[in-house]
Amino acid sequence: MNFTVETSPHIRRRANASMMLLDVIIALLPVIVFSCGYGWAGVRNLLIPLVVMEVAELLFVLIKGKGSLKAYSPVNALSAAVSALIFGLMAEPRSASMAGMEYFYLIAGSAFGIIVAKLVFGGFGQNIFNPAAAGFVFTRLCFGSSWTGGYAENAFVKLFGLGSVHTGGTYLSSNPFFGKGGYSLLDLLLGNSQGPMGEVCKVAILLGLVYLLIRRAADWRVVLSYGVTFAVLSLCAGIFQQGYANAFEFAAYQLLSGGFLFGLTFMITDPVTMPIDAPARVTYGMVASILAILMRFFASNPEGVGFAILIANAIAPFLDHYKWAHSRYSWKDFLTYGILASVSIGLVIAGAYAKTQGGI
Amino acid sequence: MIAKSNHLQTPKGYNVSLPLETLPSQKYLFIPKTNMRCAKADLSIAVGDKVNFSQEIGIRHGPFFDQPIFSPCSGTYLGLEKHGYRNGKVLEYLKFENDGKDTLDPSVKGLSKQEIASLTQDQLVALLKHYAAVGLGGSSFPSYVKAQTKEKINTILIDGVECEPYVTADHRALEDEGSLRKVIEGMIVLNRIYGCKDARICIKAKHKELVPVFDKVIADYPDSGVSMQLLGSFYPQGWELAMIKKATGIEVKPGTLPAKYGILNFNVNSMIQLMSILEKGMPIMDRYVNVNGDEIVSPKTLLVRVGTPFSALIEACGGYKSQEDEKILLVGGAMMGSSIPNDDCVVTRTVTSLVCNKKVYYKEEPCIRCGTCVLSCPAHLYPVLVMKAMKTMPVDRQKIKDLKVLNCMECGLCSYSCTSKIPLTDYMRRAKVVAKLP
Repeated sequence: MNFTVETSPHIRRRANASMMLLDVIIALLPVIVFSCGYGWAGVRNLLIPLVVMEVAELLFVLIKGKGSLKAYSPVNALSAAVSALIFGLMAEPRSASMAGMEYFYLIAGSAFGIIVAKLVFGGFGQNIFNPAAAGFVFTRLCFGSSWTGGYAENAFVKLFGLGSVHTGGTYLSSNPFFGKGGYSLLDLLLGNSQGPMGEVCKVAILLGLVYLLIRRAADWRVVLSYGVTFAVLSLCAGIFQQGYANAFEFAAYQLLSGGFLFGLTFMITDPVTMPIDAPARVTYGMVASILAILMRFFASNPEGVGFAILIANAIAPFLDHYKWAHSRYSWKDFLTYGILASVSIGLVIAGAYAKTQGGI
Repeated sequence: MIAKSNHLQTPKGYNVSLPLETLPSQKYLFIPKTNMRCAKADLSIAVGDKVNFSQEIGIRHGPFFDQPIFSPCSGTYLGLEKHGYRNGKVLEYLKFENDGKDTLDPSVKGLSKQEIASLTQDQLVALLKHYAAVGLGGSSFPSYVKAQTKEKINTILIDGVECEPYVTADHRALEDEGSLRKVIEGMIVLNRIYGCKDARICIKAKHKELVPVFDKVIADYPDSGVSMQLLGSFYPQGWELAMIKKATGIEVKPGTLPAKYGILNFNVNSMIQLMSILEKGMPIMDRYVNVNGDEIVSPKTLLVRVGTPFSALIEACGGYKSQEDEKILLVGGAMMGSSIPNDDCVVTRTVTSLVCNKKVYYKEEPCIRCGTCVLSCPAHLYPVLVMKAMKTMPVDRQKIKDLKVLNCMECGLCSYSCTSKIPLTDYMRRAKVVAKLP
């Protein structure tokens, strides 16, 4: 007889970390396919970060294992691939104003993202900041001005018969608060606009979101609190700015432009960088959403989703502190949500008022 | 997957209604000299003595109370032999040669119907103490401690939930009309003694097939105040705190007796034991044990005499599928059951099931902080933070205590649900040891 003794429990759930990462990659597929419609620029944006991040991860395992690759597992490869794809999708599908700059941008951004935001913390599962968001913010701050704006042609958009070249800035970059830019809601939904290549086609992103939620690879609490807060704040600003009649159109423009949906689907849902328990996850989603909308309306940069998510990442360990971490909702949580909601609505309305007076 | 995972994924080949068989009494039976709760024992018989069925042959001494030892059969006492116990240790067992006649000891005398009808609480406690009645759900908590409460009892809950996969012994007892009658009669006795009008048998909502059986039997006991309640089908619904919460809405603080909140709770098989003590004057001698698992040729539920070696049970179920495969042998369910090193072990009153599965090795991955363990924990604890605290050297004991690890009852859901297959329950166990250090 061949008996082995083990500790209880003796059965396990059918789930593993590699499967969850694979789910994210599957959810990214529609966006990746759409991005390939940009031709070489799209493929280049995805391939370069992929190579850089995979090599960095491999070297990290090699150094940590003192020259042996025994510890290298599918999780390493998959997690680096997810970060690389998300980072690549946030790059522009065009050439930079200085020739060859885009290659430097991609290599430096992905290297910064994986090394500084992930590997120095100890690799997968230990990082505080989302590697893709960190790489994106780093490149935006360092050499963003040389590589933003402008429309690029996409083969899929042409296929839909929408390929007319729009001139002028986007809704966000031209006039984030007052105007509508040159695009219709349908243009924004199908991706006939400018911006980072993964963020423009909202239909593809929504497909990914639905898949993630069905597979439970993303926590619906964060998705819900982030999305609802964003929609409510946009609506508040819209009511104040445009009156009741146009408020919903204003909110729809806000939801469909910029990196909001992409951040909601692929960045805020990263389980490694979010708090652990359900009440804190709702707080986390609200904070990220409020910061994103404040930056979008009032900051000098046209878009703030990446920055907002990085700042929210930084408060996650604070929410997780063992002294006040709790897994059941209590009146304190609802008080927190109430304070966050009322303060943010007040800020948005006050800011909008100041803008109409020419104050900001 | 980030989701509360308390609906266990049923293992392959899992079946609630296993074929029922009575195992013929074996030639040799074994009774442990000492057990988990009693470390010393005195015997009143010598090697070679003739014993009668259910004769008192010795006494175990424990810190709380003394447990008399009863012979499991009529026959000859052959001396002490060493065998494994369900916690993996090796104990001394009394060996009996069974003559198969089950001649009752003259001292064994049950109470008459009138005596049962006029039984007082003190008498009940004395009887439970004398027959060393313990909870038969697996924890072997002494029944008299629960019974001697001075609080006003409003509700009596009989736990037939059995949320663990593979364990179906209570289900069997409720399916069978004869044993269900015993359960109901026991509840009526308790109802009268404690002046309580509400006694419920709690079962899983998905076991609706038990309701018609109950309805049929309860028609013979009008105005008994006994009812059947369907609870959730999740794990650990059979944990007394979870069961009481679901059945009555009362949240019992960990570490207190439910009696403080007006609730008395027993296991289904403990009720059968109670009636056996009252009517026959002997502790439970035959119990349902189910033998299950993917390494057993034909899984069955067996009615077994206490003291039967495990090997006889497994033989009755066709033996193991293969000799060479690496396997695990469990006493109890797949979640909380203990793994024993070999099948040289014996059925005691508290053994509910025997499971033999193929050994599966899981590959541990880094924690991805998905939070499933926190969402799933029935005690609302933080297995992932406890793991991190235990990995930090030196271990911060105040932090471990602040994380309330002593509320953990090791149900195993954190390990079960972990996306990265981290053995979190092991960390919880170690943390409990650290927190208990003086």
